[in-house]
Amino acid sequence: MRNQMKNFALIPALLLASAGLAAQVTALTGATVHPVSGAAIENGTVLIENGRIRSVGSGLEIPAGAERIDISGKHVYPGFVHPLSALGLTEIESVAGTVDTREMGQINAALRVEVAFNHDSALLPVNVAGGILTTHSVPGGGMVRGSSAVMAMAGWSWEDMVIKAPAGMHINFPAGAASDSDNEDLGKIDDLLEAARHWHRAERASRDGNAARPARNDQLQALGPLLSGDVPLFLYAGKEKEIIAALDWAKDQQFEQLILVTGADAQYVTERLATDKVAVILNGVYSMPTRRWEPYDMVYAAAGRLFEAGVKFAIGDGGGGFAATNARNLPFHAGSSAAFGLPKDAALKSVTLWPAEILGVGDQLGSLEAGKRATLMVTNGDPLEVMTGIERVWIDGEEYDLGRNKQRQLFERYRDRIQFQQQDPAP
Amino acid sequence: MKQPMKQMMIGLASLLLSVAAGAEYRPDVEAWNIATAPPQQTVLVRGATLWTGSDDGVLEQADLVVQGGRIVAVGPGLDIPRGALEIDGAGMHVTPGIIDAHSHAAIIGGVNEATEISTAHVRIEDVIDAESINIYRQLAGGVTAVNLLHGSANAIGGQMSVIKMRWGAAPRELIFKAAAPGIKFALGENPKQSNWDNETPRYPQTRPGVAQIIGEKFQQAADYRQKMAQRPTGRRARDVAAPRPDLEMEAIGEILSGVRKIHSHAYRADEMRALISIAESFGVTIGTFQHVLEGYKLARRMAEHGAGASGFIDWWNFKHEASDAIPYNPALLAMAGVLTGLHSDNPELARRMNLEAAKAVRYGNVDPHEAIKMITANPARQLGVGNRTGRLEAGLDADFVIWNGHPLSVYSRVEQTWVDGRRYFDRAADLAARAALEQERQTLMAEVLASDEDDKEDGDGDTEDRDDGGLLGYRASELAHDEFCHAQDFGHVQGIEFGNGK
Amino acid sequence: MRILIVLLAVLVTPLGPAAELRQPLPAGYAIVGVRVVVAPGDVIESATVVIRDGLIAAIGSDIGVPADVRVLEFERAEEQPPLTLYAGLIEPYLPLEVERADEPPPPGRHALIHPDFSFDARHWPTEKVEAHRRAGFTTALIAPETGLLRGRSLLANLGEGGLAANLLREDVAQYAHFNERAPGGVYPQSLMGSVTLFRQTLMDARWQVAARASWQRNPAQARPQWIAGIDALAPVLDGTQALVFVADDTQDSLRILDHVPADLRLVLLGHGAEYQRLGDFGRKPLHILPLDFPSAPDVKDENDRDVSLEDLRHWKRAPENPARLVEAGFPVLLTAWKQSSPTELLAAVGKAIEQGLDADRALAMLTTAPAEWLGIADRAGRIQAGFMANLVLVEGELFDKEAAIREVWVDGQRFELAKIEPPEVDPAGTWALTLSFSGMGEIEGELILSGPPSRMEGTMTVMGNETAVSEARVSGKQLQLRMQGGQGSSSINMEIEGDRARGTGTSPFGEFSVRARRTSGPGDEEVSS
Repeated sequence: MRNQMKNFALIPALLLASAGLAAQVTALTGATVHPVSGAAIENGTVLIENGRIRSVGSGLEIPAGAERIDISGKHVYPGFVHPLSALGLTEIESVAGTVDTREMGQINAALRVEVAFNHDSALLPVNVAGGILTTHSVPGGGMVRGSSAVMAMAGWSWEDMVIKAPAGMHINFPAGAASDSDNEDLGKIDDLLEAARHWHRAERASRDGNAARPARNDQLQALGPLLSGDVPLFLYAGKEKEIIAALDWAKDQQFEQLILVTGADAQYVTERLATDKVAVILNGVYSMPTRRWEPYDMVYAAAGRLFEAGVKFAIGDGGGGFAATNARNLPFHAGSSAAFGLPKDAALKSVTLWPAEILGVGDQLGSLEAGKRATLMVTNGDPLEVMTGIERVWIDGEEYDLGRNKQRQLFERYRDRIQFQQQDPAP
Repeated sequence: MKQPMKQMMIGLASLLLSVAAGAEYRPDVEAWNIATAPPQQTVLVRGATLWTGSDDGVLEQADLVVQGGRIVAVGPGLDIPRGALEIDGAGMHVTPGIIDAHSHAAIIGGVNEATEISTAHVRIEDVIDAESINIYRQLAGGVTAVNLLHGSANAIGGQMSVIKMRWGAAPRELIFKAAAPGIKFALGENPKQSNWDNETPRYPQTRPGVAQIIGEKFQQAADYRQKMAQRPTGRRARDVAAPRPDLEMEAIGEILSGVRKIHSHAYRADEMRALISIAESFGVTIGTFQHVLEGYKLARRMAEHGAGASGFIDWWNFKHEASDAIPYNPALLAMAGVLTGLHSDNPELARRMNLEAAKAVRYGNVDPHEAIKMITANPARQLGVGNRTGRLEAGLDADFVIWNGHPLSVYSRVEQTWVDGRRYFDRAADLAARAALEQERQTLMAEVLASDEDDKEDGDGDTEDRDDGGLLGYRASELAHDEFCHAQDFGHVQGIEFGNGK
Repeated sequence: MRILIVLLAVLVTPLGPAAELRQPLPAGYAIVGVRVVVAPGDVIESATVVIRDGLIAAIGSDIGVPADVRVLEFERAEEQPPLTLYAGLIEPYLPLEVERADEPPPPGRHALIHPDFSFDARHWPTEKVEAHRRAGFTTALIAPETGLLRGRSLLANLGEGGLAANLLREDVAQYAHFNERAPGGVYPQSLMGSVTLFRQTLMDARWQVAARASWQRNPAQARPQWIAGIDALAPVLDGTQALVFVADDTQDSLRILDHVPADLRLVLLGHGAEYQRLGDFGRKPLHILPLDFPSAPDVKDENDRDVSLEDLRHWKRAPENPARLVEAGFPVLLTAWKQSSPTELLAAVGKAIEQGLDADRALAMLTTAPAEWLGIADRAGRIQAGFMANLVLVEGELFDKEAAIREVWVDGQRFELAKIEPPEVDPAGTWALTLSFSGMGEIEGELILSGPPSRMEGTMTVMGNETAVSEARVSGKQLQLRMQGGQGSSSINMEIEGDRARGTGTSPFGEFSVRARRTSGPGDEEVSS
């Protein structure tokens, strides 16, 4: 009888134990931990539980039953947050069938990119191996382009991987409007926004029972979150005059949240950007200077100048299909900015915490802090340095199999082949 | 505008000295407006980390002496020659000048002569743009020599030209005369015209066709050489019409005689094997494969044949034939014994080749000094100037770069670039010149506003009419690229995609 | 001035005398009491020039006037500048585009290679000849403008009667230009391709001479294929005929020097930026320089970030280009090529003189120097007995901003461009015009004129189309206007009485009569009608 009692006692214990397995804690120990939100922690520990960071610190108590991973001599960083990319939306630039970033037509407000996000794109594992663990994938094509989405870089479906959608509405400010107040294209956008405001007023009125429902219109409906301030506007403008005209226009339109996507000319408008509290996504550091007669480092130095002026910004890589294949080079844009004036810790933030904050997911990503997603990487050094290797990756608390990277697979196969050939001379 | 003050301390003494000694040379955005070439100087760089590019490897706390345009000595504790400019190298690194073996950055009037499958007679040296701002900006990135060559529109493209980055000199003075003659070939999707709307298609449209036509051209050239060798001379020549001299056949004939080396754009393993096979059947050794994306798949074969490999390291998947490109390619090629180099194929990327070399360390654990060789000594050898430049070694040209930190670090910057013992780039001088250039621009603008010309138009109309993706004032040659290589996507030149509205 | 085609349904009879009713010409002329520039630096303050049978018979300050010639004396008012007589200007490059056939060329011929091309009488460019003549030119080298190896030029006076009456010399020089693309998308489509085609062609030209000669001597061999047209390069290759090479920019100039052997007679047709790299040329070939100085870049305000430093510099420095070349020892001629109209050249020369070009040198570049180069120094370029009576009579001095060309003489034939009397009226202001075409009704237009009577500027608007007035002269009470439109040139000649005017005009669509009423004066005050 006693044995049976023991068995019965065992069952709750087993049940308790299985509940404990579901709440498995992973402990990364022994490394230098770089929270980004604070100073680096020597010999630190990161505790991961249920997909989230449970705690970060030194001398942490590690719960019983935790999976311990000793990464002494290494470094732990939050994953890079790519602020503007075509990841998931493109495969091979020259093969049109694989490219979903160039819709036709000028007004595409109703597009939502996440529905075309290919979760098994070959580009994802390759770039995860380079530390890009979160991507803000954006629509392309036309003036009013549609809504973007912040996506995790691993998952079983795009629905799985959505972190925030819609993340914002994307509008390309017509360059001609910089010198022509009567610009036809800008007029079209104005008309569209006016129509949308009207449509939403009518929609609200009909819900209140005061009017009939307005006719269904996907484009106008899709502009709702922008007009109500629920999502920010990502406004694309290039040269200095275009930026100023775009900012003036955005002010007139009274958008609640404005994020400017632009290039190096932002450095000429820093006072205005700081005063108006406009966040900037710097559209690539590896570009030719805007004007032939400008200094050779004018683009490299842009981020540093934004920083000095107190402008909130994130560093991107130019975006688009070609850049997406090498999104993993994003941190080097930040590193090169640091070579020309941006402080190193600001450079790191500009590709981790600051893009997360600008994208409205700063509570979940961009730093190693309790409560945030356990989306992080283990490196053998400073990940802004090109020579640094990224050795292990976790996304949402699960370790990512870097063997999925097809480039790594080809490397290992052919390395073995070459070594074999060098032993046995027959080619 | 505040100037960044970081790391000026280390080079401060040297800056003062350098500004005093090099006071005559003032950099300018227009090469013709540079009154005198920078003087050839006797220089001692003291106590730096020297990346020799030779078997001497990396020398810490060592000295470099150059004189008369050559490197005179390399090593610790060297004596300072009389009258030498002494540069304090503490904390600094010195590498040989970077050599970009695949560039279209300074070519006028078209990078491709796409009309016929073979245009072997066409020469880059006839169209070098000595005014291309890319020359100066690449000097600022440590480049001292580039190989200018054709695009990839034809199987046999044309004769390349290696130049030294002598900013301010006339076009013919840029030519690096010691370089071995070379000729550009192309295999794969581009010469078979698969990626462009072509109203007048020409043979071939398949890879077997490309291989066939190359073999046929070789045979024609062999026949031509024979006819020319057998033509009558002396008194008999009066009565017998000589065969018509044919520049195309002569150029291909030089390949067969070994005088002119093939440098072939190639992506897929099969097409490279095909070219090796054709070459070997004519007794020819290929100089290099360019881009060589799948080179790792035939690395041993390439090593045995004797071809070198020059590639970009991490571009992939922009065309289908690039889907198996991997950044471990240089590491694997080097492991297999292939002379391996890295190139830019892009005027903007060419400014930061040191970071491309750093990628070879990241992908495949190439030793850092070996990685430096991939952008210096190795391309020098591939271009036939291995005994002239590419290493810090006595007797070689004084082509070197002074960095303010580890040359493969993203945080480092080029402080000075020397070519032939002349300082063509000096960051301090560049910073000093900026104010003067901007002042000149403002003064001229004020003159325009004050003048009574009532018919003011945009410049000469030439630069304004192009859709340069948001760039202003550039010459067509400065934005030129191989339009067939990257699926005609202009945005790569800037690293900015058109789709994002720039 | 453009008029809708619908109005041209009816042909218009000319209002002037029919060609057959020409008055017999006088035996000769004597121009009396004008300032004469015999040659640059050689000036006679008041002289008489006797013209007879198309030649200058005599010139001097104290020669008598023969009894049988018509005497031309000009009344000058106090404030008017003196009249000056110069030798007619010589244009060293008057390009003519030659129509290209639509079909691809036959075997043995490349579409860009036609050095064997020569002009004939049907190519005579009447309009261009007139335009040049009005600018003071009396002789021009007419050159082919299309292709890589373009063909040969001919030298002619700029009178009436076509080539037959004006030809001086045929086959003067060969022409070339690197930056050409073959029609139809065939080779070459790049600059390097064109340069290579040039090299191969020069090689072929030498080879063909020898190969054909061999076959001629010995027919028992395979006959070499014949390449059309390149035999015409023989005189260039042996140095007897000049090769005029059009250069697009300084690096093109250097490229040309690299590719043309030093023993050929190379002439460079310049581009205006030679000052940038004079030291790199090595050789100093003769340069024919256009003076199309760039207009100022568009500057919005003093902080305009988008104005190119390179453009600003060239705008500033281009006018000194001729002076720099002269300083560096290059022989230089000037051409009106690339000016919007040939009359603009003289103002441009004035600008070059301001920037350091010696004024006498400048005049030589348009007279004695081209005469020398073209082998007609014994009959043109100077006002001298025995020389062709090619003259230009200018109010003021030739390169003055205020100068105006009054008369041009070619082979002793007088072309009066304007009646020369002191202006008695001031036509400045806005005029409402009514143009009457015989049988076609009336059209309204507007004319706006400003400036001093001797050098007016303005615009003419008809049917909503605005055209600039290219020349406006006042002589006595006569106002003479010239306009250059898309279809051709037009002129109006009116007599002004107060605020009204009447006269006649010509246009590409026919002749008309015109009435005008001034609606406002130059200060925009309304004029009471």
